[in-house]
Amino acid sequence: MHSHEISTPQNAPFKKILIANRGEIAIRVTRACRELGIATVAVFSDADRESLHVFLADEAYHIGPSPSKESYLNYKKIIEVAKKANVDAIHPGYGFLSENPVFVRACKEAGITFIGPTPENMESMGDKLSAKALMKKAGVPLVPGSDGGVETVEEALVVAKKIGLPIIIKATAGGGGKGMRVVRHESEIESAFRACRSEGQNYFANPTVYIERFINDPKHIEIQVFGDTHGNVVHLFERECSVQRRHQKIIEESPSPSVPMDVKLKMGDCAVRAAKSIGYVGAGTIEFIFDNQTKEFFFMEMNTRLQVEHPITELVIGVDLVKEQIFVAKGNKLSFKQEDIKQKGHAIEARICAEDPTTYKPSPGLIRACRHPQGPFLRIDSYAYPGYEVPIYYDPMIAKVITWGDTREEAIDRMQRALAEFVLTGIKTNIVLHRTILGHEKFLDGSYTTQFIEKNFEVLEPQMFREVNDKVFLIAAAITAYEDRKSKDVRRYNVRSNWRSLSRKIQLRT
Amino acid sequence: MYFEAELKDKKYKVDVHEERHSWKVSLQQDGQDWQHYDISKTDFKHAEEYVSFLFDGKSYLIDVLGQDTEYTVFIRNSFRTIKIFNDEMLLHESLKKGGGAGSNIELKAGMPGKVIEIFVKEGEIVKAGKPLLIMEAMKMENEMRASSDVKIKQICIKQGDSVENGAVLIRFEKP
Amino acid sequence: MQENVMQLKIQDLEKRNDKAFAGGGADKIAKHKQGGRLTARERVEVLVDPGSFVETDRFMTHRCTNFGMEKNKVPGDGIITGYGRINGKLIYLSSQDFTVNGGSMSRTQANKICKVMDLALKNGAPFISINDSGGARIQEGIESLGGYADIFTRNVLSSGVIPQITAIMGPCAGGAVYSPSITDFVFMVENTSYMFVTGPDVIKTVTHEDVTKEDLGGAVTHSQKSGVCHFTATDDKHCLLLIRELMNFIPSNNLDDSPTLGTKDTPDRINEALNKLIPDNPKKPYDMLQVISEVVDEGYFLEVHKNFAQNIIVGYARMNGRPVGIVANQPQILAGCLNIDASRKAARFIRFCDAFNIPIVSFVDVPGFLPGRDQEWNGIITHGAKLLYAYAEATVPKVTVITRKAYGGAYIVMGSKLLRSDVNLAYPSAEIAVMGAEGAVNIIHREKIAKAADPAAEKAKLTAEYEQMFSNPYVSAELGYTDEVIEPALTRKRVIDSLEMLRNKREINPPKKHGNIPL
Repeated sequence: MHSHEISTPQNAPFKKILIANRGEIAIRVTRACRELGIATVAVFSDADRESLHVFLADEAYHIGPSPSKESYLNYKKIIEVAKKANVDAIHPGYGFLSENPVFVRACKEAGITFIGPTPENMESMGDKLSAKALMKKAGVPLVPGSDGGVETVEEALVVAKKIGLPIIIKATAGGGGKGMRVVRHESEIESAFRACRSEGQNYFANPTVYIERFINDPKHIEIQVFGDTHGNVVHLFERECSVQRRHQKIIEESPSPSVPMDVKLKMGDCAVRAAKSIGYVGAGTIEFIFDNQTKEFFFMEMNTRLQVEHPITELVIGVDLVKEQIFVAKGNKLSFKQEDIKQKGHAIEARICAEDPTTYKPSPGLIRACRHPQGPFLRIDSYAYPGYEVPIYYDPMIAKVITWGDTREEAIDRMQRALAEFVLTGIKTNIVLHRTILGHEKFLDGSYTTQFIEKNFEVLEPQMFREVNDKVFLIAAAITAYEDRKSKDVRRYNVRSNWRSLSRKIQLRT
Repeated sequence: MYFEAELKDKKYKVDVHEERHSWKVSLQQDGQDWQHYDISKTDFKHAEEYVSFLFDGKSYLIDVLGQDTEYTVFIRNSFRTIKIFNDEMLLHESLKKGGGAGSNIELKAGMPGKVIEIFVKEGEIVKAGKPLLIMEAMKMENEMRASSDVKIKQICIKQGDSVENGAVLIRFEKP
Repeated sequence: MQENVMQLKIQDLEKRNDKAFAGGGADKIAKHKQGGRLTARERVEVLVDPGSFVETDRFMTHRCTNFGMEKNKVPGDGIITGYGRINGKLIYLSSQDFTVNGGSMSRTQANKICKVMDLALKNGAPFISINDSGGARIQEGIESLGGYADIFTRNVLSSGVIPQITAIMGPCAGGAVYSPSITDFVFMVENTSYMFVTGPDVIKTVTHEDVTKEDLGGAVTHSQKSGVCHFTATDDKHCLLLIRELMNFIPSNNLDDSPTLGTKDTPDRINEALNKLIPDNPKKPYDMLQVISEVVDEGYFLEVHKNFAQNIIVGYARMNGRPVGIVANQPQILAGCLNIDASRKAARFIRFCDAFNIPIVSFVDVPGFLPGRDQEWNGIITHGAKLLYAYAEATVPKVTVITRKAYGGAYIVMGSKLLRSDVNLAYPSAEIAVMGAEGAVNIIHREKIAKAADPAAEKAKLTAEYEQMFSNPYVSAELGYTDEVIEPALTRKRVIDSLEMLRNKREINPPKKHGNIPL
């Protein structure tokens, strides 16, 4: 790990970094820079003038109208600002331009270091099909399947035999649950095959189907990897992100309660092999689908950027990933070796979003009260503050609450405690959803899968939403309504009457 | 002061009396008995914009938003939208909206956002459940549908407009 | 023992009270309440703050002995008088009880009313009269007429000193109509109230015209055609609650201000919508009410005379918490032209505001006076002069915003700088000119156009030239007739700035008994 001396602008790896992002991740990067004595440049759109990342940076520049396309995705404008501000590097955060090879090349042309992987890294992992082909070559396990279209029932039976039941038959063009059949017994294959083909034909005008192993209890397990420009790649163990709704992660934890040590070491090796096969540089994440029954894992995709949930790895491993990104971008060797990396304790992250926990609809608007939780072994990455108006244009995530505990149980208790302390009013947030999930038996015993939310919360209001009796709400509303009506009563204003004083003056005169 | 209140689909009668040192609040849910609460003013304490409410042995930090006849109350990261009104408040509200005469049924924006697409035309008769327009907020598109059979009286927005929370989008009349 | 006597006396008092509360008796009350009407007492309870009403003269009775009237005595004599509060503001009131002798006006009723009217005038508090009466009590003869006259006299003396409001909640015919018409605001309930000097029967005999009571003098007639009625309500309760709303805007007397209320609206809110509201084509109408509701606090505008002379809008609102009177042309109706009714409507409104220290904010888009034989024959000259007189005479702060057209005499009249208005603001779209471009060109270039090879093209060219030169706010700004040309989005901010600046305005008209407004 780093042999630390006190950072000063003189020994900083860069003089000034532009952060091409907004919200909490822009603040996260700003913090790393400040610790390293690097000056920071924030950029902001029309809607973000009052965003906290603008206040915390050393310099801030306007880059365009509110829609991301015209601001945070407008890489030409960002490079123009970077040149004007005379920065020597750009950190892209996550999302927006972070996985855009065109932007990376433009940075290079402008003589600015891009803090992240190479454009070639991005391109080789950008397309899912070619990424899978690459991984197959590198010996990373993929979900067993038919390798393309299956034309006849006979062919389907052969494939099924090869990969083993259960299988899933999917129309190539399918989606939304149409043209999809799970088959658990050999006798069902024929009818399922025909049904998928005809649904494919009817709904999507394409009868082609393919076959894959069906994973009973799928979990989302990902491995954090880090590479440098000297050919070293190290993995930093796993994160479990199976609490998802519509492919949006809600709660992440590390280590995963479901992956045995030998399997996670195997996953780590695979991840390192995968990253090495493409000469990966910087922070990256290899996502696997994990079968909680068989404990098998299969490659899904690689994210060539820093992840939202990186803090849980930071807490469990004890490495500042953003600083490491900066040093690697400077050309330094990784500050740690594989044998240095150990998981210590347990970390959980809850993504606090401005959304209605009963309908999942976004709830942008003005934040009134905002008191972040405090206390031991707790990290808050948030850009919420009282009086801040959460804009309609961007991701609804406004804060991340991350807790660490010696054990998983302690980390969960601490998270419950932290969320109970969190006061956020004016906008609707999913805090009660988090508190309900954290108390759910499937979460507590670690057996939850990626279908956890759909199966348990999709239609039901989170139980914690009912924590407080309706009558408390009613009493508060009633007293407020009363006070509002009373505010019209003129006697409250103690106005002096001219009527009386003037008549006295007149009487004294005559 | 007497009010009627609605919380989700439940109706309540509410009576509030202010005394020197306490609030007397009475609640009656439809068809049930009156419940009376005597709340000391020191237990319902304003702290800046919020209220610290000590009730039933519990401590709540409360924030109440809204005015006139609709309030949203936040407690412990849950919230309830409560309609609370009496005749005078209803009149005041209707005057505020510019007369309130006639049966103006309106579709309002439930959140700030951008109008992506409008599916209906003025004068058109729309069946319940038919999509009226799509609004986008926070990268999500929300389809808004007719809740009953209506005739479109006026469309108050254009495609591409950004609208505030509560803005009137479409006015209806009886078909 | 003594306690017992007192107890009995108290019981006797309660009995007497009950008798007064019973009014005309259960049967009559039941009949009265058919159709959703409230009793005289219920009306009072709705009107004033709960528990604030104090009754005067509950036991007063008439002293008439004609036609066996001595046997027909009800304590209170068919009217409830007293005082109470509306949102804390002291008011005096009377409420006629139709169940007692048809609410007819007796000498005693008049005495009761005069007593509270005198108190109102002495204490500088508004007087509200709820009328529900068949007319004079015929049995009392001209003594009852004397009662009316006493009330009229007090109405006149109180006029401009304390606000007076009448709610017509039943019949009001003959001499009885004159007290309401002197008061500042008349409220009527649709379908249950009517006012006229002579009823349908008399009209039938004299002119052989057939007319229903509702058509002759109902709420709709008086709010749309005659302008006698300022506010209409759907039922008794609505009517009384409307009075409460109005009372929030008006002060207790001509020396006091209506209190400033807190508002959640900010004074410098930008009216972005106004930058897009005025159509590019000057011939296209727009809704001036939208301008008003955009500018005022929380968009709350209480319109007076909503259904009468709709080409002009008058009403109350608050600006930064303080009440203002608003006068505005409505381009949607008659292109916003001034006519007889509009002039009368606005003139009376302005005079009320001036009498009671309510600043006047005017929004102007006026192409001129309405042309026509009908208007001239009915005296648009005299009536138009009323509006001019009212604006010029008013000494309260006057702020005028010219949104578009301001032509000729109508420009002068509508709160222009030329008539002592304090602040004149204009939008860049304003056309402050002696007349519209086309008309002006027709006069100035008559010969040139006639001689031109292509008169239509020549006229179009000259019109365009004229527009370029004069159809803008800058000629008047150069002359100082316009203080500032503002971006419409800044209307609220600038109007509030102006009103704050004028808060201590002192302007005194020459001493006189009273002016001679062209009535």
